[in-house]
Amino acid sequence: MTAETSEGADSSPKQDRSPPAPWRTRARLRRIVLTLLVTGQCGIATYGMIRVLPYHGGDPLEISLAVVFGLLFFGISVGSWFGIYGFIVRLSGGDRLSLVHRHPPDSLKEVPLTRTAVVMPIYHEPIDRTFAGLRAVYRSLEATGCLEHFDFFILSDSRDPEVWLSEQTAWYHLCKELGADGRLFYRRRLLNMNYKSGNIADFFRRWGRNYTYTLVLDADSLMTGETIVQMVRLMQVEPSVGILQTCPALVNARSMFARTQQFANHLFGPIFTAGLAALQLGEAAYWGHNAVLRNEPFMRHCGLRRLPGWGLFGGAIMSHDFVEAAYMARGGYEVWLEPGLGGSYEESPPTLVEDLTRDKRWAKGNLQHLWLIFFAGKIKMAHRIAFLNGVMSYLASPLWLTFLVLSTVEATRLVLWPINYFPAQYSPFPVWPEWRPELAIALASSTFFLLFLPKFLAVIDVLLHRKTAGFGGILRLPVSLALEVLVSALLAPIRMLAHTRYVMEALFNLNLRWAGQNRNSETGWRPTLINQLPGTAIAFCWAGFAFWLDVQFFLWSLPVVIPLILAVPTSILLGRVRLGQILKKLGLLCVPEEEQSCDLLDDMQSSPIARARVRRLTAFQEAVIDPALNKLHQALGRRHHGGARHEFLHKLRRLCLQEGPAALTNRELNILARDRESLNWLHQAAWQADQDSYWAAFYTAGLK
Amino acid sequence: MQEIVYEDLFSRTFGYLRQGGVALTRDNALSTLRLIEELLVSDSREALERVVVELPGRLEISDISLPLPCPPVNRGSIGYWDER
Repeated sequence: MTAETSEGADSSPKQDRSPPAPWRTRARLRRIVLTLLVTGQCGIATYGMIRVLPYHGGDPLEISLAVVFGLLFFGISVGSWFGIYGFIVRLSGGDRLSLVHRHPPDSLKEVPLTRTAVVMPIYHEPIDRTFAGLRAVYRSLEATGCLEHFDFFILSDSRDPEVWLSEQTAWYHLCKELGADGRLFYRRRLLNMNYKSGNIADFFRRWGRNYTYTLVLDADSLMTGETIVQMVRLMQVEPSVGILQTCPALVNARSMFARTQQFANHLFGPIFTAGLAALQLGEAAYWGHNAVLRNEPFMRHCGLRRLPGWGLFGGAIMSHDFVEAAYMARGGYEVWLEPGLGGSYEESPPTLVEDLTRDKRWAKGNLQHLWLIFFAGKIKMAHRIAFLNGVMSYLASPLWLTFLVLSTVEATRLVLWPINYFPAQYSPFPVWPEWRPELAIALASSTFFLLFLPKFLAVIDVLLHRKTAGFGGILRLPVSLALEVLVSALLAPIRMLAHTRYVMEALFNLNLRWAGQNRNSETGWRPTLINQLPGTAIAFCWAGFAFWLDVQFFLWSLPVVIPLILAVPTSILLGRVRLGQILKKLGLLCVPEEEQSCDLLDDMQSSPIARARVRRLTAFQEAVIDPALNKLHQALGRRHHGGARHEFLHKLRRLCLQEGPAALTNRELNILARDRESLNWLHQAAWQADQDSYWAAFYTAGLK
Repeated sequence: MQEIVYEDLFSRTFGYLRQGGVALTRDNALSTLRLIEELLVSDSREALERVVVELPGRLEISDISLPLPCPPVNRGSIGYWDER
């Protein structure tokens, strides 16, 4: 690592802020147009809903129904207009205000690079995939000829000794393989406070000042060297930009669930992100990874205080990225989302259960932002709206459920209760309840139109850009689209119930376990049943009641009921890798990165990461037995001082020698495996142990 | 009885070499045999214990060039907005 410092990084944009950036006026204009369109559309739809209701909003129940419908329609309308905006932007050749348009790659060639850290925070991740991904990024940067400006950091928060010992071994082999000594670093936190944001903050406190920029990667991130270099150069020529975010495309999907997500991401993603970026411009959000941060302002402005409230609104901020973007903007810097930057990838959770587990964390994290919306000072309105958007993406589910419950009560009232001719108090005029199915159908149709319009625009966008070949060709694309729509329809009610539960758990501050993600396995029956069976039971009860009440109401309930009843088989089936691969062979749910080869992916999958020499040894056994790895782990370990600690370590060592690691708890193994002296002692003692001892079984392990 | 100890000594030595990833070249094989010969002069039981202590020094098994885990710390601080 060279000792180049981050000179020039301190150039705060506040000094040259006098004339407002031209994008600000345009952003205001675009947002006003969007607000008018959405509120107008929402007002008409809510009025339509009132007309559909039998008493035309004449009592509290119908008023509640209309309000909830209005809120739900608002969300649908916003999403739809994002898509339409994005379609128009792409049709006109991209946003002229975007950084990529203002500084095309050719104009950046002469811009000097500067010291940049590439950090990958990890926590119990699949080691082979994670390290192979980082290797591919490293090699890709190497191929650009600009590697000397970059250092790589693996920032581990792993607690399980089996995991972190394997990480250390993989890091060692990767350094050797890449010749990256002094460029690829590994740091494990002993005290992992404040989740991922705490992990990154720890990096900034130790080494942030050594670098001008930091590229943050997730464990499943992939980025091409060219894109990384282009991003650093863009940051160099735009000193007011604090965060530059790419739009990662999903890749490497294997199960049918992941392939469906991946297909939707590639097909619909470009127009939605183009629309989002066009509306946010320099006040975009940060998604926590595949983004470049400017170190000096990030360290100065983006410290995350613990929330001072109660329950959910007390303690560490869990979803840190949106907050960091808001704080960066509060510090006077711009945050840009750049859909024009390609070569940025991530992966989808392989199964619905995993996807929902991730949503559970995100739901709680996003709901915490409610506090910031109201109590954080000097946050820009655009970022408060971004917080609200995140909150609503989860609150929409309980709202939808509320709408279904209120609809059921309304239907029950019409069938079972006597007609109320005077729903409004003190009104001398009777009201005859009227049911207008043609208006209900029109309203439902217009809602569906709004939902599906962006999808059709996305297909037109693909046709116009002549990219159908990447999606399997002109014949397979509609079939894939139909499959995606079917899967989305099946998953929507399942997600609704799950998100409702997560929102309730978050609001009542039930305990949340922060765990690493399962990024590549199938789901078993047990977790699926635990996850989905309650929803299925509710659906059966609701369907039975609806059928008993009124057949027409029962038919209306079917789009929600059927997916919930089929939730378990759907979840299992979608999680199957085999099914995903069959569809791939048939050319369905394909994406351009599969049809045309992707160098980064090919490199990642080219060869496995070298780790253990003897596969059947656990990482701990290997750390004790293998002479070279024992030295490695000793070097990365610590020397413990103090009598009481020593006594404890001696006791653990002896127990481990006599009875093996299984006799120790994970916590005890953790303590032992990070103690230099204990590792050395165990190594020698294990190799000197008697033939009938636990460790003797491993003498010959190397012979096989 | 003595045969078992000798067998154990050779198997343990060979296992250690394999675990250490040491290629059994002519030089390595000769060094190993020389060490065993030296140790056996004293006591076979002691040889069993000492072989793994001495072997790394003879064959430079443990001479792994450890990459630099982290650069030197250049302590900085994180700033927090004053909400008051």
